[in-house]
Amino acid sequence: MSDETIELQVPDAPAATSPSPSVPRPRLRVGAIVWGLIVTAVASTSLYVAANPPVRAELADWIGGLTPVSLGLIAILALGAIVLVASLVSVIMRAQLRRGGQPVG
Amino acid sequence: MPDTQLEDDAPPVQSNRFFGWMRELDVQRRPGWIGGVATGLAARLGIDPLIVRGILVVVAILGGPAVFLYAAAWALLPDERGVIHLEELFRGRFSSAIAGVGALLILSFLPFGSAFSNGGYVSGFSFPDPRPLFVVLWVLLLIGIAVWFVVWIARRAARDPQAAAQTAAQPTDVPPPGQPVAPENPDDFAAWREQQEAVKAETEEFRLAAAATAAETAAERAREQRALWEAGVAERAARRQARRLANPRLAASWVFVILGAGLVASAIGALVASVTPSFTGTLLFAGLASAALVVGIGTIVAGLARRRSGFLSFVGIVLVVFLVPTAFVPNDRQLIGSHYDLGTGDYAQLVGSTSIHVTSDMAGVIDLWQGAGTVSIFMQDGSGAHFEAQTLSSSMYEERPGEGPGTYGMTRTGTEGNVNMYSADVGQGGQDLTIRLWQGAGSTYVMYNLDPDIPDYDPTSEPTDAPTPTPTATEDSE
Repeated sequence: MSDETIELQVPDAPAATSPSPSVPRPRLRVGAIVWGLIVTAVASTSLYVAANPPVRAELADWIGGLTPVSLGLIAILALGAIVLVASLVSVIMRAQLRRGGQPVG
Repeated sequence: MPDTQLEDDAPPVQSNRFFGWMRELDVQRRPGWIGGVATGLAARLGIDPLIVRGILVVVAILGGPAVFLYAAAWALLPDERGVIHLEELFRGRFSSAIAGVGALLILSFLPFGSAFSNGGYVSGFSFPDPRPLFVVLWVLLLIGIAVWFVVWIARRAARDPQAAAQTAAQPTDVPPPGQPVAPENPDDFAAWREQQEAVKAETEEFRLAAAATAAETAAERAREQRALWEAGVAERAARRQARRLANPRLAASWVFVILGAGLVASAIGALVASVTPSFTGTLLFAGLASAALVVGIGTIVAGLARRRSGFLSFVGIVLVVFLVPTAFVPNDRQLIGSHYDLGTGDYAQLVGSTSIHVTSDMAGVIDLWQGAGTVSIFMQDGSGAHFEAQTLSSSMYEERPGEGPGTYGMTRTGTEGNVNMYSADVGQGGQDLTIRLWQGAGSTYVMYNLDPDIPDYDPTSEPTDAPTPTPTATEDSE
C-alpha cells in the first residue's frame, strides 16, 4: 500500500529509473492450487476406499440406499461446491491482481 | 500525466481474454452490405467479397447455419477500429448493430433450406404428410427473396459511389454548356479562340487536379487504414507478450513429465489392485485414482511455482469426473460396454443397452448390473428362464404372443426400501436359466419369437445370433 502512495507522489520516478518496463513477478496460481487440492483429495479418498473392503461395503450400502431425492440433493451440493470454489478462486485472483498493480480483467 | 494515460489505456487492457483472442484472429469487419463480415473475411482471404457472399447464400439455402454464423461473426468480430459489438453490449453500450444481430439470430431459427433437406423429401410414410404444402410455400418465398435480392443488387450497383465516380471521371468531348457562339469578325474570332483555349486548358487542369486529389484521398485513406490495422496488430502482440510475461506457462516438458508420471502411477495402481487381496475388483478405480493423485499434486506444485497450468487442471478434473461414477459400479464382476447376446456370467454395465438371446439349451445364471439403459431379452421358441430383477426406477415389459406388449408376468413382487423387486418365469419349457438383473434406470423387455415364417427353434441346428422380430411387426399383435 505504502509503495503505491510513494509512486503516486513521484509519478515520473519509475519511468526515469527503469528504461524498460519491469515485468511483475508472476502471481501464485491460486486456482491451480485449489483445484489441484480438490483432485488430490478426491483421488486419495478413492484410494483409501479402494484399499479398505469394509469402507467399500459401507459405500456400496450407502449408494444402494440412495433415493432420487437424495441423489438430487447430492447433485445440488456438488454444483454449489463447484460454483463456490470457482468464485472464491476468482475473488482471490482479483485481490492478487489489484495488490500487484495489474489490471483486473 | 501518468493518470490520464492509465485511464486511456484502461478499456482495452480490461478487455476480456476471449475478445482479445477474437481480435488476434485479425479478421476485421469492413464496410459492406450488412455487417461487413463477408467483406472482412474476403479481405483476410484476399478474394472477392462476392464469392464469400455467394458461398454464404448457398450454404444458407442448403440448410447450413450460415445466417446464425453470420450473426455470431457480426457480434463477435471487431471492426477496423477494434470495436466488438457484443463487448460494447457487455459494457452497457447498445449499438444499433446489436438490433441487426438479434434480427439475424431470430431469422436463423426459421427453417432455411429445410425444403432441400428433410422437409422437401416426400417420404413413403403412411400418415398424411403436411410437408408438400410447406415446400410449395417455401419455394415461393425463396423465389420472392431471390427476385428482391436481384433488384436490390441492381439498384445498389446503379448508385454505387465508385461506379458513379468513374462515370464522372470519363473525359468528355461535349463542350460545356453556355459557351458563347463563335463571332464572325476575324479579330474577334482570334480573341475568342484564345479565350476558348484558355478556358479549355483551365478546365483540363481542374479536372486533372480533381482526379489527382481523389486518387490521393483514396490512397491516403488506404494508408491510414493500413497504419491503423498495423498499429492494432502491434498493440495486441505487445499486450499478449506482456500477459505471457506476467503469467508464464508451465513448460511443456514439465506438463509431459507430470502426465507421464500419472500414466505410470495409474498402471502401478491397477497392478497393485489386481494382486492385492484387499483391493480385489477395484482395478479401474485404483488406476484412475492413482493417476488423479499424481496429476493433482503436479497441479498444486505448478501453482506454487507461479506457473499457469490450465491443461493439468483440466486433465485432473476429467479424471475425477470419470473416477466418481466408477465408485458406483460393483467391482465383483466383469465391466462391459453395450453388449449384444450376453452369455452366462456376472457383468456390470454403467450405461448402455444389452441384449440376451435365450435358447432352450441355455443353463446357469446371467447376472447383470446396469446403471442405466435398456435390456432386451429375446426368447427363442421352446426356451424358458427364471427372471429376477431389482430396480430403482425402471419399466418392465413383456410382449406375449398374440396379445401384444404389456406388463403381464413382469409385475412388481415387492419393494425393499426404494428398490423394486420383480420375479417371474418367462417363456415355455424348463427354467434352467436364471436371469438376474439390477437396473438403476431404464427399461427391460422380454420378447418372443412370434414370426410364423420362422420355423420353431431346432436345438440340433446352429443357434442364430440374429434378434427375433418384435411382435409389433406381426399381424398377430393387431
